[in-house]
Amino acid sequence: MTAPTGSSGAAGRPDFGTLADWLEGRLDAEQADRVAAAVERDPGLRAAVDWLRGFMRCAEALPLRTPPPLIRQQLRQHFGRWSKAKAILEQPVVRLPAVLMFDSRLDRPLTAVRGAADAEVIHLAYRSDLADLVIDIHRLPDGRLRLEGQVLPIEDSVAPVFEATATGPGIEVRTIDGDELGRFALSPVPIEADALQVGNGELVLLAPLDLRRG
Amino acid sequence: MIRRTSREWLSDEVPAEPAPGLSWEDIAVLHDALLRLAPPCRELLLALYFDPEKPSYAEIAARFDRPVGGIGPMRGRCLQRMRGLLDEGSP
Repeated sequence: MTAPTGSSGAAGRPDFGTLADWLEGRLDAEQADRVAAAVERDPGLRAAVDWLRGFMRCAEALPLRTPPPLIRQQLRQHFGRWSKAKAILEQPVVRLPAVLMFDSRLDRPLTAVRGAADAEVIHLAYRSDLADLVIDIHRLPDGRLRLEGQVLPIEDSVAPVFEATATGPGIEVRTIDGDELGRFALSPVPIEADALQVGNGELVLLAPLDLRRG
Repeated sequence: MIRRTSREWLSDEVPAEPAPGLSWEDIAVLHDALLRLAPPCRELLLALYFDPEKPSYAEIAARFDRPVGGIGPMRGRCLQRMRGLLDEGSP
């Protein structure tokens, strides 16, 4: 495919700017007819026009905002892995158990969690060899739970955006998104959920959950 | 520890879906190509095609301190660079 070149579409082959002018209706009738005829007979110009139409359509629809951090990280990881050696492609994801180190319920009575309208938050903290994990559990009005968590990697080189999945018998609740501080949220989570998996595409932490206990 | 404000930050600010007809991958590729353009081209294309207020050539020319007649040719060159960047990123 030959890219349109030349400085003007008035006499010679229309250039990219002239094609854009034509698509945007900025040419007079005579110029527009000439461009239309040129596009009709030149596959390279048709390809350029198709590209311009696609670009303008995308620009119309594109929200001027960055994709969510998790999506950006996943895309960058995909592209990065794609462009690197096969050995890197074959590197397995590291899966580590996260061990519960702190549970605020051990120091608080059951009624303190369930009774008040503004229920207290349960705090859990887990540790693994590569990252720590902290979780705050909020009780929702319907009895299910909202889990807000944060992964705190030990090394800075760990990809910072994590997604989480709470599982249990017939249960799978995933995060909508995570942020670049390692924070994520899950809601609503049934109290029967008994495991939490938190991963960033390279590292997966596996944490046991006991949500029935008040 | 987790901040209380994370509730608003997660659920309210992050869109669950991109614009209709586009995937997040489309948007990320376009976004990254825009970032790779030299600033004058990036700013011009953003003004011409992404600004919801659709400024006129005259307004853009004033903003960029360029003659109105120079906007069209510059736009053509910038679109061509953008196309080159997007083609580079294609498999």
